Amino acid sequence: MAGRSSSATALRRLMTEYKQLTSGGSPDGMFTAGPISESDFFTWEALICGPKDTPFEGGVFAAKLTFVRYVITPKFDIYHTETDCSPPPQPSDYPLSPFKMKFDPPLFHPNIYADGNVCISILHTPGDDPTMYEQASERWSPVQSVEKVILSVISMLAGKLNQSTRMSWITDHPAFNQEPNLESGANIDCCKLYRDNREEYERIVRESIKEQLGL
Amino acid sequence: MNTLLSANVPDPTDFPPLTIAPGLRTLDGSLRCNICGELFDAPVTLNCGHCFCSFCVRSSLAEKQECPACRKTAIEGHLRPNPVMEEVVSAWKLSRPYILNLSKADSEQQQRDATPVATPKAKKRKIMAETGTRSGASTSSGVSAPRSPSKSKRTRQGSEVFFNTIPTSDADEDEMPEPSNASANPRPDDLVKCPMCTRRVKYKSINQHMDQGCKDPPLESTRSTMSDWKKLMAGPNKGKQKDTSDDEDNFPLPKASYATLKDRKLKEMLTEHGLPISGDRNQWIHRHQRWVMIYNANLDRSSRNRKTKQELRKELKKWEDEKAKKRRTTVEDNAAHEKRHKNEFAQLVDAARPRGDKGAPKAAASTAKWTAEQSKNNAAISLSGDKSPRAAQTEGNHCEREKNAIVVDSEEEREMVFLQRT
Repeated sequence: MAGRSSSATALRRLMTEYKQLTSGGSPDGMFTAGPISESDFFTWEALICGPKDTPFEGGVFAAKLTFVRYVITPKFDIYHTETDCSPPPQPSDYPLSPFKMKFDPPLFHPNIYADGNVCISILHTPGDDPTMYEQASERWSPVQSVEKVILSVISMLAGKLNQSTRMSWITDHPAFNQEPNLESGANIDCCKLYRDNREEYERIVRESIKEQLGL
Repeated sequence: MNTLLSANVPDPTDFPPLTIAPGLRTLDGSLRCNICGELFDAPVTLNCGHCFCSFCVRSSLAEKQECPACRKTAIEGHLRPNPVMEEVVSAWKLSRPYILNLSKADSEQQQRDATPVATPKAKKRKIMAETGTRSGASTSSGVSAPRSPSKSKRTRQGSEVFFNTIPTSDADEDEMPEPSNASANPRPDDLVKCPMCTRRVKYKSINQHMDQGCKDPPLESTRSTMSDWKKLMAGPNKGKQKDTSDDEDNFPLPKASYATLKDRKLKEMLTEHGLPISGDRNQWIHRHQRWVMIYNANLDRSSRNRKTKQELRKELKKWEDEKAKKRRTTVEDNAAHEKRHKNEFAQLVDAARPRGDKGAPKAAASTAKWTAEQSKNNAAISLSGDKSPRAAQTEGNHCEREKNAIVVDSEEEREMVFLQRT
């Protein structure tokens, strides 16, 4: 290990994960994931099937996974706006830091921002806590993987399922017992709707999926 | 870049799944570090019992002081080398290709067996019976377990005759893998056990091997274990000399609190380990941090797997070169990028300029100048990692000259950042 740079480690690990995903498949065949282009292993696309017995059933959702690190440096002079300040992304030090996940097109869900970025504790490093509500036990750690994160996101979409409909792969680990987190929602309107008028929320989700499928 | 996909990344799924070869995938998987996904390199154990590569877990602990697997608090001081695991891994590294070959041959054999011919099957059963009887006969000497005791009783006499006629053969054939046992004619490259010395020899060269009185070089794996043994036996002498010469080398380097260190002290710390003192303070700190990690991780290897300081220095240099290269390419990209996308940039600049402006052509000219100068600035920025005072100054001058230009500049930079990201 010592001889390899961090990006080389990241590349090898991503190649291993990709190989395992392609040869092993995902539990229940609920998703596929892999690099978009073979020349760039640091940008992946995932296709996720909407979990059964939820409003998301029947939908197929595309998400982009980016394994780059944006270094935030302090501002140096007043002429620079926020965007000017962010330097070019560094090659990822994955798996030390998590990747980013963005649904494209965005999903209507309390924990997905309007631009499609996923806000889930397993993708936050133990250090940063944007919402101040998360337990450290659910956060990112280097032993997590693309597969685990996507399963976690699927369980977040599914919400709390009763025992009979629980999917076989859901373990008792907190990462796989996600539920829309309304206290620290990413999409406030959606949070309100989810809390106050669940039926309307589910209707909107179903509508959007029908629209997506062209029905 | 097809090479990326076709590149052979060894991983547990190289082995057949659970239904065919139970445990093999799990075995390979459990000898791998959960951080880097490779076979353990200098495995260390934390207080909670979880095992990782020394370097992996050290870099993880630098980010967050907890076990990556179970999140129990952990510090570098808790790390204990795991020499037993190290040995297991090095043995597995040796045997892995062999076992992979075996499992491949096995699956091929099964495919061939799927289309059976009547006569070979009958023959096979005969052979099986024979091996069974032989093994049954030899249980008394405790060499191997009987395969079918009832059968062996029935044909014991026959087998004894067999033994008398060919005294050299023994029960070891029973341990032969099923494929080579089942096929009447092993392929030339198959490994078969020499009936005289019980070493595994290629089928095509077995006659030659026996003719020479079993004196030809044994199989590769045996050879390497032999050389390992030789190294081990020869080791103590050398090891002792080494121990006395650089005894202090066996202690891990302490972490430094860089913020409190003066430049001079930092330089001393680098030269002490023969590291270069090029670059700025920031680079020194990164260099030293990395060095401490590489150095301490190296100590977690057992002494015969340890690398020399020279090798470690080379690794450090490689890492720095790669880092520098990456930084340089972004700069080079900027310049080349600008040339390539000159038209697009011009369009974007046009779009970004306040509409309905009076002096449109004048502004265009100034923006063209700007593009050139800005690219220089950008290079300076990304090289030094932050805004150098000079760059900031030139910017100030420009802002006095042309207020519009600032808007254009930021817009353009935004565009460049965006393009780099995509």
